[in-house]
Amino acid sequence: MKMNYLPKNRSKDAYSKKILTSLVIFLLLAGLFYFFGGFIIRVASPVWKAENAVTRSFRNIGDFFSTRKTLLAENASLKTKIESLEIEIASLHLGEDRENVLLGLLERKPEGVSVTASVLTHPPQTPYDVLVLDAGSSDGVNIGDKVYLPEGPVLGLISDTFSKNSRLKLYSSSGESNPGILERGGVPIEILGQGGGNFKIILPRDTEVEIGDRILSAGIEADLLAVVEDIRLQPTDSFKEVLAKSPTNIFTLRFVFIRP
Amino acid sequence: MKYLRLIALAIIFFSIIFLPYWIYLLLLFVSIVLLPFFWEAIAFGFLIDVLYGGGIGEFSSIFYSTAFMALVLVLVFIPIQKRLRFHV
Repeated sequence: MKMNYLPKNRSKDAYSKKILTSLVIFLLLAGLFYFFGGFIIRVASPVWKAENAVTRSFRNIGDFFSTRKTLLAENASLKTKIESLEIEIASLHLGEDRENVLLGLLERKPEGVSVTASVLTHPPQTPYDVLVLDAGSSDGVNIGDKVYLPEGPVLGLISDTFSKNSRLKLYSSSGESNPGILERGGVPIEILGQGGGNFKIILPRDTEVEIGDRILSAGIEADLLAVVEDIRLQPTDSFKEVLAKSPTNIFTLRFVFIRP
Repeated sequence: MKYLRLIALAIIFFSIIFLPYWIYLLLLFVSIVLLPFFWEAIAFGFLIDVLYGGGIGEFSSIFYSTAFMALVLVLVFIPIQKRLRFHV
């Protein structure tokens, strides 16, 4: 007796095989990268350091070819800028001393030594406002440590540590939400990260805010977090959208301070 | 074909290490679309997560990782690829 079988659907079979293979690869690689993540960063660090050095030297070569007139104009503008910044720094130190005395009286003086780290990679190389630093747990860096600019403003928190490296997640990371204070009027606010060093704040319509206003961190130290860049308000809205920017260009960061 | 795959792997690897994210993510997507069963994209996804992302510390975070997105794209493009005119 002759038997007739239905032909096997080969393309469907091949597809199932590929799905299964992909899933197995995914699980194997997840395990592999979980255990060797730190090692991979350690291997990549010298490459990034070399890349940064090369980029900087190329920038210096570009400066060499600037015309004399341009350099003189730049020199004059920089001198003026330095003078104004020196005055600003002096006034800041005065305030800092006063603040330290007050914090000392309240027994809330910041403790611990800060670690200086250089930035190995920063946006736009990293997609999530995450920076890789060249100081890690062997240098005393811990998860949750605050990271500051050498000039004072706070940037974010350490999200991961490895023996010689650590990962800094900026407050401006997309989806990050942190408490802050709008310096004008001392209004407590929620500051939302938008990526690329940008922040968004939603405020009631009547809250007073101007372009250039400073936004401070909510802690007792009240570090500078962002500066107001734009205010959007529709006549029908009961809230206004404030766009703020980190006081520094996160795309060109070189050094940071890490404090517990 | 084999050489094309190797060249693609090398270009993507170096762009992950040295170039901005929009370049390497675009290259990764194009490779998934053009090359047959480009499972290497999953490995590159993990590399991006380990180097620049939040890592792969928690189980729940894996669903928001670049590697998971790459896996989904690879699986989606397997049945579609042969019907694409520009498929290699």
